[in-house]
Amino acid sequence: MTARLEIRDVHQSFGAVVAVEALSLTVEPGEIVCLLGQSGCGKTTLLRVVAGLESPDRGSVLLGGRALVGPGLFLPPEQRGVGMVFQDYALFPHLTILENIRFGLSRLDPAKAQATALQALERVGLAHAANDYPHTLSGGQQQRVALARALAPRPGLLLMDEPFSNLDQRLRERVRGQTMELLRENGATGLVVTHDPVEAMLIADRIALMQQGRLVQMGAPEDLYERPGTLFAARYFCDLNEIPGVVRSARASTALGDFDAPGLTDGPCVVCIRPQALSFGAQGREAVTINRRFIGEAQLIACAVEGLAAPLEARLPPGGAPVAGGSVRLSVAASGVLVFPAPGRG
Amino acid sequence: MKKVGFLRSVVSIAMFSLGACSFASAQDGQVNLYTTREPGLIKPLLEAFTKASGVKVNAIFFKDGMAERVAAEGSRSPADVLMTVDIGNLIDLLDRNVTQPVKSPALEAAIPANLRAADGSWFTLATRARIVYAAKNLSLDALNYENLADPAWKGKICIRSGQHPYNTALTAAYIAHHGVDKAEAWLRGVKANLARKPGGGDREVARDILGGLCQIGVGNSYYIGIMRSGQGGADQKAWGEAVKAILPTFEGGGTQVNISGASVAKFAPNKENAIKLLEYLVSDEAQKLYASHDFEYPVKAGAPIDPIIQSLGALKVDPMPLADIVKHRKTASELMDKVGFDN
Amino acid sequence: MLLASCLLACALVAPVAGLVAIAAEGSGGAWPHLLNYVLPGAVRDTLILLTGVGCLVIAMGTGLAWLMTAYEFPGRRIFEWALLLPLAVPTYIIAYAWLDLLHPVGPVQDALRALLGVTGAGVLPVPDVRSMGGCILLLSFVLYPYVFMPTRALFLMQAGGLLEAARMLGAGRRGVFFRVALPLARPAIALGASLALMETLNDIGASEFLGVRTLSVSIYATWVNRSNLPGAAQIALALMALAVALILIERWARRRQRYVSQTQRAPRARPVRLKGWALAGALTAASLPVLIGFVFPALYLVAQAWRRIAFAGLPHDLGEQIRNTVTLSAFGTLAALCAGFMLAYAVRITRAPLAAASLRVGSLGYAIPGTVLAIGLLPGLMELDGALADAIDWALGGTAGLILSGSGAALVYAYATRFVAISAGGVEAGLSKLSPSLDCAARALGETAGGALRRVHLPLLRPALGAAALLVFVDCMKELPMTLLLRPLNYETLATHLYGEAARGTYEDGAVAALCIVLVGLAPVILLGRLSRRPSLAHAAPNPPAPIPSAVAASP
Repeated sequence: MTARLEIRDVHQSFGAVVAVEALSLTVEPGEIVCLLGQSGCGKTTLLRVVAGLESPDRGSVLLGGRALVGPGLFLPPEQRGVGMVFQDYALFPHLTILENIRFGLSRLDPAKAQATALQALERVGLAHAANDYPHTLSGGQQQRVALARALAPRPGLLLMDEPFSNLDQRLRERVRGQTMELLRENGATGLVVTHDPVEAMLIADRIALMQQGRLVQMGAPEDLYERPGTLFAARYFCDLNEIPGVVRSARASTALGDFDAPGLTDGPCVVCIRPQALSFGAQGREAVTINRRFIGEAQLIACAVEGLAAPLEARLPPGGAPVAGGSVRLSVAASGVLVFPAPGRG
Repeated sequence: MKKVGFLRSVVSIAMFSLGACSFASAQDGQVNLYTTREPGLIKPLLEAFTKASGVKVNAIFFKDGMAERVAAEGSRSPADVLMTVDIGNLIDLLDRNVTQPVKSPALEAAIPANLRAADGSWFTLATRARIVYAAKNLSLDALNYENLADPAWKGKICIRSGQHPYNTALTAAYIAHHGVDKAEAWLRGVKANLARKPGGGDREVARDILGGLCQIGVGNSYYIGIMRSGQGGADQKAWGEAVKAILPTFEGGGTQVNISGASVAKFAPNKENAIKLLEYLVSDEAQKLYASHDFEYPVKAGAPIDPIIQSLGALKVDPMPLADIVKHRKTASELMDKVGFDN
Repeated sequence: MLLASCLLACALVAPVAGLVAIAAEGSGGAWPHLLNYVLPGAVRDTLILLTGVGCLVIAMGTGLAWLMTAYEFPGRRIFEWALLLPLAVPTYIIAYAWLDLLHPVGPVQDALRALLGVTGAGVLPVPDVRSMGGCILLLSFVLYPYVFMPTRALFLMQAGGLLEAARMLGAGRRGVFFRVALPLARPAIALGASLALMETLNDIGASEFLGVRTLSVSIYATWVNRSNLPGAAQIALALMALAVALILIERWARRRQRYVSQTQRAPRARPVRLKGWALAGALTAASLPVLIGFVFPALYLVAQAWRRIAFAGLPHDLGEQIRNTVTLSAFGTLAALCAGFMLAYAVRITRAPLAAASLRVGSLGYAIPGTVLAIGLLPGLMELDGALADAIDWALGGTAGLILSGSGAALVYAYATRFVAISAGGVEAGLSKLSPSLDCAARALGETAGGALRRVHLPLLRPALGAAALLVFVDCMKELPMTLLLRPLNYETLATHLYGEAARGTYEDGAVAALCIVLVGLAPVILLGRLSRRPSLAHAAPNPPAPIPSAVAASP
């Protein structure tokens, strides 16, 4: 039941607004891919193109080798064998929980459909609510019903649109865990839209980062985090200290010192330093601490460095806190430094 | 509640300022008329009365519920004259005790005794006959009401609703002549002869004859005049001319007539003017209008009948007293239901 | 507030109470006759008529609403409001007009004969509209907007996500409609259909004219021909009980479901663009109701009115009649609106069961035929009127007349009792969409209860109120039997004038008035169309036609 999803050169515009542009990507059978990006980047549109809820201006989508949409071809959503979990769950308010799940099983004979639906409900631990109406359930329960409903017809591909965004923080983590467990049990191929990079890294085998309708970078979470291809990608995954610099002979020189800039042409650049790459020690640039915030597993310390307009933020293990206004020496771990050409420059 | 109360006063003020109504019921030179008569038929008479007497007529034209309204208004009712187009409805007013007897030598002189109450509690102003309209080309010159049940007419008769007062009055007369059982058999016979469901008005009967839906039908005499005179427009002229009128009779009797009549209201604030209006309505001038504008038979002996109505032939009024017919009105209405006349 | 609401409800239900009093006088043994000969046929015909009209208005109303929502085609935006036009045509006018049009000597058959080269009347197999079938068709073609309007609004605000979810679960377009859109629209359809059915149930003009013997016609026969008002009142009350029972059953059947969209604002499902045969089909389906329910009758009236005007000029009192009609309808609307607002708002503010009961009871008047309601209203009203006059006599001396019935105020009151259900329902539904936290927020920000009403609720309710007002206005304008019975001396409206001409059979004279009714009714209907089209106000439109179930029946 799992299938390989191929998206080839899809374009979709609404009037003058281009939502998705020349986008191609592939999801391997059983793989879970996150479409990640800010709101309005086209990720939901892409999801809807795959679902058949939008018909793209150009391009094709194949599932398990079968064309869903292509030149002169458009399979309506009901014939695609694709499941979807909506952001608001879209549970039918006029049907009971069980009837909601049976909705997609109308091709089975009634007894079989009933059994399958009950089984699906049991798997999400809601068998006791089978005859309740959706509005009587909590948000987390509704999400589980939506998931069970989407998976019950055993779709080759499951699409999820911000499936956890309507849940509060604590609940979200729990439901997310259960959901991913269920997905992996089913071995389903999944395409999940989210704007939250942490969530994407938690659930995805691979992440497709999108910006303004285009695919910016695609890869495993570590790839995108450690080796972002662009300043945009780097910024999306991590709060960075950005300082201006100039590249000369593959070295970037900044107020904080010189860094390797392999492959960059000469000219102005942006040097990004992850907060956790900064540490205080006996050596390094002099800095003055401005304030300190304690967040449990770490502490964030802002410090001013002469020659830099904005203060730098360092993320240190807790304990041994320098006093505010104290003078420290900053050292930078080279592994936490990324250099990009300055924006607006090639 | 407060809001509505407030609204009412706003409304009163607004309506008053529009001059749409008058609150005070007793006013010099005015008379208030409640009537179920069709406005177009009575207005010319009222205008003529105002011109002749200087008394202004205020009117409300009702369909149903006139008796209920007068009764509910009680002693403050502004109504002076109550006018109906059916003897049964007129007797209803008496039964509800909303009329008063009046003495008027002029009325007594003009109206034959059998067409008014002896005590002056109601008066006939004009009469109309319940007649038969027949297709022009039909060789039929005379007919009894009894013949309408003849199977020879199967599928050829058009008529308005059996529950309409005109038809219940006709049936009541039939009961008065032949008894309930024979009347029921007659109604079943007529019902079996109908070309279409009973409905519409009397004029539809003429139109349906023109349209070939039926060959004969039952209607009031004055509609022939209204149609043929062109008063109702060019279309209706064609309908009227498509039919010939036959004045049927009961076996051993005459043609069934109904009346337009009136009473003076029990609490009439302008009683003098009320009597003045009634007296005018039986004057030669008004009776002529009844004939020429409404195409009814004038009630006053010697008043001229309109030529169109005259051409229908001589009217031989059924001698059965109106009071005897009115008695059977309820039974007639129930018979209509019993035989499923309108179904 | 609670007390005021109770008093108001009492005032509004007074005519019904009056009817009960009349009915209690005893029917003088009328029931054996009624049971034997009248009710079997009348009940059967009424049920056939209701079933027929119910099925047709639901099919047309929802079908058209779906067509306007799920599909896109040239002219759709025009149809969206044109489909409301038949609302402006009273049932008695459409009955007269189509009888004339289709009669063997009418223009349609004339034209057909000319076309086919046939001579002689009555040879064409054109069905007679004076039949059950004709009555069902004609009533449906003017009453379907009651279903179309709320259903369309519901489809519009129905979370597109639900429809998309259905398709993702394998349902085709038909499946989406029948398995999701239709069941979800059920409250709106039920509301609209119950309104249309109330109109059908209470209709006398068209059904009597077309020869269909309904229970309402039986009420008339019992009252008018057999002078048995108590018997008539008893049938009327039984009829009302039947209507209320039907509504309660429908609400009971969906007692556990909740339809308020708990979803976020999801994108509207994108309509499908129609082409070719499908486009032709859609255009036909959308234009037929407008043509039959409005354009043809209106054109016919124009032609008739033109002939009349050419022949005799404009009726001289036409201006006054239009003014009377508009004034009276405006006051009636205002009264119904204020009363309805007060009843519904009291429920919101006090949350007392008594307030809710007041709302239901106050709205009962809609389930009773107009004349019968007016008869029930007469005794109490005249009593009050008399007392008022006595008071004036005492205060000012002299003899005062009857002020309420003499001023048209009685009529305004009657309109309010009959149509308050529409406005109360509209306001109630509108209020139900406003979060209670709005009230709290306003009060927490230091606003009084009155201030919250003025600065928060009223502005937010404006669309709902507007739509309700327009519907009530059109209804007041078309209203005939109560107007005939309760109007002051010398007071003619367009409807009463038309009745007078129709009663005399001088249709051409009546055509001018009929045309005026349709034209005056047109403005509010078009406004209504605009109101329901604005997406931000779309939620307002389902409300006004929501009165009966929400107002008469108990909440689930």
